[in-house]
Amino acid sequence: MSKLSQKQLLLTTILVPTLLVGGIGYMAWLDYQKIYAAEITPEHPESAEIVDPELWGERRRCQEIQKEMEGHRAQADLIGKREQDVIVYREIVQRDAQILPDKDQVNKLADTINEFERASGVTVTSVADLNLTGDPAQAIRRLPIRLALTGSFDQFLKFLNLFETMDRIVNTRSFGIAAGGRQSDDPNSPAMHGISLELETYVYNPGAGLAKPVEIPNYERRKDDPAIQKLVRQQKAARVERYQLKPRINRRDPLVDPRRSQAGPEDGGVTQEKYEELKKLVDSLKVEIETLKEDVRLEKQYMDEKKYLQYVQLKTMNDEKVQRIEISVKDADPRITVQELREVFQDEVVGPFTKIASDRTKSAERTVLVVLASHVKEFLNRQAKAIEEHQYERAAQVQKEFDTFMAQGNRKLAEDAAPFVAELKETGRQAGVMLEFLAMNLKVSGLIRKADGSIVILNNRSRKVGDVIDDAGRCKLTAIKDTTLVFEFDGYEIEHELDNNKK
Amino acid sequence: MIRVNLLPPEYRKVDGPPVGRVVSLVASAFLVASALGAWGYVHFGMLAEEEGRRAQLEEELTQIKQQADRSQALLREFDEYQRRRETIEKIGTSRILWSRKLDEMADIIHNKGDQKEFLVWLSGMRSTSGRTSDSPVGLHIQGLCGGSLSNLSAFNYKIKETKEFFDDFTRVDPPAGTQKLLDDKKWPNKAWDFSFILDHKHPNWREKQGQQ
Repeated sequence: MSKLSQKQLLLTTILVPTLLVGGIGYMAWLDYQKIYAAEITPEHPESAEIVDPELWGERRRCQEIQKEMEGHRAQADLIGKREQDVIVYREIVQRDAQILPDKDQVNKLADTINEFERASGVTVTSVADLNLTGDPAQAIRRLPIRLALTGSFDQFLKFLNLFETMDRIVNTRSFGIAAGGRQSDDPNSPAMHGISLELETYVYNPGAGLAKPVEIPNYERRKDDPAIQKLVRQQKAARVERYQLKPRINRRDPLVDPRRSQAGPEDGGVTQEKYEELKKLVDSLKVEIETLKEDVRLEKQYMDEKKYLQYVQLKTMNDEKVQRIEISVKDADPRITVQELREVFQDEVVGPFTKIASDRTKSAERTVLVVLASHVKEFLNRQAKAIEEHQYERAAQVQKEFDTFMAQGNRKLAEDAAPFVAELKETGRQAGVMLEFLAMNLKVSGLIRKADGSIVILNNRSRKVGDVIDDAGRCKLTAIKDTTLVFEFDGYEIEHELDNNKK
Repeated sequence: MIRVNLLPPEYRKVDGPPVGRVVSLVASAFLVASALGAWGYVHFGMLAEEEGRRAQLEEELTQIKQQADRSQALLREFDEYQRRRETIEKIGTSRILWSRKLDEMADIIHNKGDQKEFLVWLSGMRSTSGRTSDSPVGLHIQGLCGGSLSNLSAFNYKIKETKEFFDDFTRVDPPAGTQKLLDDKKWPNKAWDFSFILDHKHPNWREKQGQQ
């Protein structure tokens, strides 16, 4: 083989490196593409249109991963809040679900129906439709209960009310009641009506509807957190409204014909004699009611005119009369069976009497207590005793006690008590004056009796008749006697004995 | 021109490679080395760095995805509990205490024993489905009212006038009926056969009013 010529050698020297550089350059370019292919930049926004991941370079891949991460990060940042929401709502639902029957109560539904049947007196003739409705995947499903029963209106009402006042909710979906007849000829036996009743209750299955509750770390500790508890309390608790049925005495069954027979004696109704007797009874009650009305009116008049003594006496009499008439009306009610007399009895006896009795019951809360002279005398005697014993503070206190006594309740003074009250107040004032006089603590240390004007040494100062003793000018020396000094204090004359400084 | 070199070999000038060739060799070597260096930098430097960064980002993405999934699960659970709460609330507020309404109706019919204003006795009472959009349920009463049409009207008026009872209703049918002669030797012997439907408000109307 001949050697290459110089020219060939030169060419080779240039060509081979060129090829090498080209090849290496191409590889570098390929690696460059692996990095920068389809990268979205401000200069190449069109790269965003390349959606095939095979055509992306590493930087584009990183961009896409970051974008995906942002989306997930937004969700991840909400974990704290969502955990709190879940804790709060788990607690709320657990609390509120207390109004729904639990499994035991649903299973014992038949027992409950029996128990209520016994308590109310109805007779349950059929029970049906105790099948859960709704999707089994739901947490709360409805359980309807269809019943057919017989009973009186009040029995049915009680039966229904027992369900409606259960702690766990049982709702009345629908009902129907058709008037029935009496079971016997006894007119006092209750009429038995045909009743259909559809109730519904609910079964709560906490595990349904949730594949698996999310584990929340430190759940037990976190649910007791005051902030969580506050959020739970802010949501009003579900409550079951109830109605307490009150017994209604003498209320007739609304599905029973209340009309009375209009037959005469020949048809088996009341005899003429009996009729006359009943009419007399009604008339006498009417007269009593009219008299009572007048007495009540007079009672009110005495109160308005502040004649409390007469008011007290008349009120006592009227109270006794009301009690008496109430008994008479109750006795007469079942005896008056004749319709026309019954109307008169209702209109002119029961109606007005009920109104008077109810007005008196309402006004009893505002009853006036009348203070008689004898009550005031008790205070006066105590005060007089205190004065005798020179216990002026006690005497003044008695007057305050009387004022307090009068201020309590709705007390009014009887007319005959007024003079005694005036005396009590006057004595109280005098006791007050004595206390103030004694507080001056006058000490007599000398006495000069002179014809032209005696002088007395009081509290180390010489005083003569007419001098004012105190700075306020309330106490004046009006006379100097051998054994006493006479002062005028606030209009009252006080003798002060010189021996032992007694007053 | 023919060149003859008569110098002995040890004195002859040595012949080296041509300058051009050397230059091109050196240049080629330099270029090849540079190209290799550049490629090495791109491949082992930049590309490796980007690949490392991508791997790190993928790892972060996995973790964040797990958190996001957990957050979504919490949201789903919250929605479920919220649905339950709403259902329980709806159950509680959709309740009508029929024992109360029937008790109040019985009081109206009894009318404290006053039979002069009206004397009513029923043949039936039942709940009905609502007749209007603001009344989901109704109360149907049928019966007889003794006496004249004015007694029936007085009963109808009493129903409307009894606030405690009628506040839960929107309306009651007007006093209309058919007069019947009752041949049973009882008094009154005439009565008006009537049928009233009372439209009940939504059970939670008081709460809604309170919210307003």
